[in-house]
Amino acid sequence: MSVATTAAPGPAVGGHEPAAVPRPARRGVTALGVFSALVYAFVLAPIVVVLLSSFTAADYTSFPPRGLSLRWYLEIPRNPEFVESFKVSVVVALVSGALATVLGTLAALALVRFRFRGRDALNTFFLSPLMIPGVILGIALLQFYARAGITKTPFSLVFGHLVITIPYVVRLVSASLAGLDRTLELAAMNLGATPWQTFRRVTLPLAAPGILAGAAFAGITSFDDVSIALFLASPHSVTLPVRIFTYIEQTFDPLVTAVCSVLILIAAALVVVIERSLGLARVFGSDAAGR
Amino acid sequence: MNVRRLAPWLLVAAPLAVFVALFLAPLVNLFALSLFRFDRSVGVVGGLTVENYTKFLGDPFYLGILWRTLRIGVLATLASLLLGYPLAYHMQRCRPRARAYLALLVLAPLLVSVVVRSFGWLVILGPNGLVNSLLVSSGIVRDPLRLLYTEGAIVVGLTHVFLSFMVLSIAAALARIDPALLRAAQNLGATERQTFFRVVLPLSLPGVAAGSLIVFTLSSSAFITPALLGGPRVKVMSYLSYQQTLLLSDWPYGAAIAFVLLGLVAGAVLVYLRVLESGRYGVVFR
Repeated sequence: MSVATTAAPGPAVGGHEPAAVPRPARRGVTALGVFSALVYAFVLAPIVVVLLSSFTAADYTSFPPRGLSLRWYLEIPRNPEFVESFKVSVVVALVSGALATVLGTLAALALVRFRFRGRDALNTFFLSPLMIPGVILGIALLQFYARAGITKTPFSLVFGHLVITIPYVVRLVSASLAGLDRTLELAAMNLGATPWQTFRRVTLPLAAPGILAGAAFAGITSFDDVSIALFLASPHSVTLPVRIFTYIEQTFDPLVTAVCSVLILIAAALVVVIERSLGLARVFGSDAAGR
Repeated sequence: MNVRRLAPWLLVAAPLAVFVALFLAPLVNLFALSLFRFDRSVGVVGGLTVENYTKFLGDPFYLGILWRTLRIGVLATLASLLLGYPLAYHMQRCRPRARAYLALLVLAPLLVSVVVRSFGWLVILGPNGLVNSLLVSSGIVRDPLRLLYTEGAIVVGLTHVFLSFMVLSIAAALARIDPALLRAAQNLGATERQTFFRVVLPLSLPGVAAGSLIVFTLSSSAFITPALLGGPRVKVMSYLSYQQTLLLSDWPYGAAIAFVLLGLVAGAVLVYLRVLESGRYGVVFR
């Protein structure tokens, strides 16, 4: 969003800088604490409710669930379209995430390391897809493909996702390149390294956390996208979120609750992995102005 | 040719080509399409016209959908502000370790697909859902209330989906406040309440403004949450555009609706920024 540029990235939440706001003198339960706890409950409610109601033994979704069973989880393999869609989603996310990381890093290198005419305009251009509603991009791409005679394949999905994932890579990699200590590169060159060696052995490793954060954000954005994939998916390449979306537009039986729960568990695993490796606040904190 | 001058363009060549081909060209094409006519029997007919736009702006039914979209965007923004500000303030007052865990709690839902989160609200607000179960079993109502497919349901869902952005934005602004200012206020005899209203709140306004802008633009152009919690009965602009193009094949009209939505969001952002800069606290936004 345009706004995120006005809101300087700065140390956001989760950092270890001293708290600017004074800590309360008295301990114990405060009205603010109670209110916050309720808001956290609101944040977690839909996720917890989906998880719990997936264990129902009944034929319909309800909360609290009726009975306790794993029958709807056992039902998932019997619906190959969900399994198939999951595979499509993973492949599309991996391919578009990888391509977006390479392309976005190239753009970030040009934007951070060089001063040239049109640089500011390019910077704005590379971030502008974030300001366009996903549905509009989806409609525009579908119409464009139809006009250009491009048939829908999983690749048309990948291309569509490049547009919404590259901006995040550009921003995260730019931030990490801008914060990089350039005297290290000068030292390497002084010691006789060629520009390419310097890039391979010094710049790239130092920028790696930013690039990995960009890759993670790009992959997750692609995996979770519905509004573009809804328009670009062919009958043979429906992503899982689109499958779930069209399914629950008709009905929401406990089967889809179980499928959603699987997605929640995958997200939970990702939270742990990203938090341990890169720090969730690093990936999502400074650049959460997504969709 | 100077290598130094050529280098950045070599680097951006590939991403730029992708953006021109897959972003700029499709949008220009869609805008051109919105200036065409659609005939049920023939399809898209040539000849430039603004008919689609005048049809939209002259019809109370469509204008009603435009106002509803705005209303939902404003309400979701206000709700996330009311829930998000205290949360961000509380978070900043916690010790760094606790703050990191609380931040994780705010960030983690961002990894769960919007479809899944909106589906959670379907389960909570549905006829057999959490809210109705509580209301019926406690005897407050006899029959389940119809909570789904209402504007209220959309506002609740959007507030949930975009609350994190509001919290992050405000928390970042709070973290930037110089602690010396707070000690100074206390030294000069300000109570905790006075310090909050006279120092902390004004200085956190840029975060409030940025967060509000993000939540408003995202929620007024959101598609999945309104489609699932409002459906065809409570249409918003994005759903209308989807319906006209994909379901009814009236591409020119659907394209025009998409650009009205885009204009609405861009216009609201410009007005909002102008108001902020001229207001009483304008100086903090510059």
